[in-house]
Amino acid sequence: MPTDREVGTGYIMDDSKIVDLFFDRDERAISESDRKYGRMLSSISFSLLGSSEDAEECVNDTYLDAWGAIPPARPLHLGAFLSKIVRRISIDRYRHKHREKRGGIEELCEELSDAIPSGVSVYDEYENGRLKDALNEFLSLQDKEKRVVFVLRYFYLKPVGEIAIRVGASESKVKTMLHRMRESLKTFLERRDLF
Amino acid sequence: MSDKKRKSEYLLSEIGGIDESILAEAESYRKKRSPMWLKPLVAVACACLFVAGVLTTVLNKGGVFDNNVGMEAAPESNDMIEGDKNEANVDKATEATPDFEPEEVRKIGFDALLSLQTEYIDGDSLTDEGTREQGKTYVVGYDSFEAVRREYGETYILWRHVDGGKLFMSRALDNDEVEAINKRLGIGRAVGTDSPMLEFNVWILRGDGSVISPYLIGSGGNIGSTLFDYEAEIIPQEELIEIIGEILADKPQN
Repeated sequence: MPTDREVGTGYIMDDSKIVDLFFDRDERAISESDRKYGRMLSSISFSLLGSSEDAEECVNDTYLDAWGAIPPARPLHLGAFLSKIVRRISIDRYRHKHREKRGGIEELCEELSDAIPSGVSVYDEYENGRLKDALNEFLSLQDKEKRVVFVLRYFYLKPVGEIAIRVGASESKVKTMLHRMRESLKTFLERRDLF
Repeated sequence: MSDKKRKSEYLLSEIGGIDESILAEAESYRKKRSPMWLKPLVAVACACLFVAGVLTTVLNKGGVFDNNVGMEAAPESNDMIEGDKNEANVDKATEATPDFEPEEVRKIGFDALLSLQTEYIDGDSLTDEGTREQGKTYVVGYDSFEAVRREYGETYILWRHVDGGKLFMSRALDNDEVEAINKRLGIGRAVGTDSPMLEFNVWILRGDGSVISPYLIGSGGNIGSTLFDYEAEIIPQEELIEIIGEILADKPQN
């Protein structure tokens, strides 16, 4: 059980302890998650939706979702776990509310269209999970820096400039890296005969 | 939405299924600090050595510079004979083999800068044998220059004897010197990047955190990681070499 000091202000709790709070059905699990990951989750959601109000709702829904999922789930990386949830919820919200508007998702989709082989039924692959497996395999084959850049851009939806700072490279280098990775992903998907 | 965009949207959505271990790796990733400054450093060292050799040649031709002691006097001549210069450069390339140990750094002036440098050296830079071999000198990178700017807000010139290996000297430039140098930067003959190792190294540290490389052409790259992917820079005109020679002949400030 976490001590008062651990749940007090200014102390960032370890993931495992926050997960313990979820398991104990202690509502501090939400506040501690928010303190540790709230900004990151809001950033992801806002990048997709372009609306701070919607982002806030998505983040709240994320905690609710996590509350329902933990237990039985016991995530090793709580940040990644919550990020996946907020991302999914935000994309769903986008689909329902903003399809007709041009927003963050469309911009990212335009970029990612480079990685889509023509005549592909992505949806089928999406449905049966093969695309997800292929993505994980593709990423595991990349060197660490490339993998990080790809994930920061297309999962965490970070702006290129921020990624450049994180990886210690110029923006143009990051853009080039992303472009090459999209091309490489396209070839990978084609060669894997996934489509 | 076009079919391709729709597919892209599914792909974007499916990226949400990336393994959590990969996500955690990206979330926590920060570029190690040392490569950010090490790369420019190594390149700065190589670049500096070339111009330093040019300066040395000029100083030696003036007959007033003792290699073993340091810069004792200003050059009296700015004549440069290309053949002589190259010959001198090649000789120095084989001689300059400093054996640098951080605890032996002799600090003369610019203490804060060198303290920062020592901090880095105490890290992992000296475990990189390749860097030790190539660099031949160890000064600071971007972060430290930023610290210098914050600390001093001035332009400094910093140089080091390769011969001495452990001796750094520096002094602030006055406004006239800064102006004289600035007016002449970026003018000169382009050179390649395979310059030989030479006598001493020179850097001009500007108050904005940037550095003038030994080829004495200002470059934003000098404070970034892409800097020394480097194209040929410039050997300065003799007039600038003379000015810098005079500055280097001054006693360093403490």
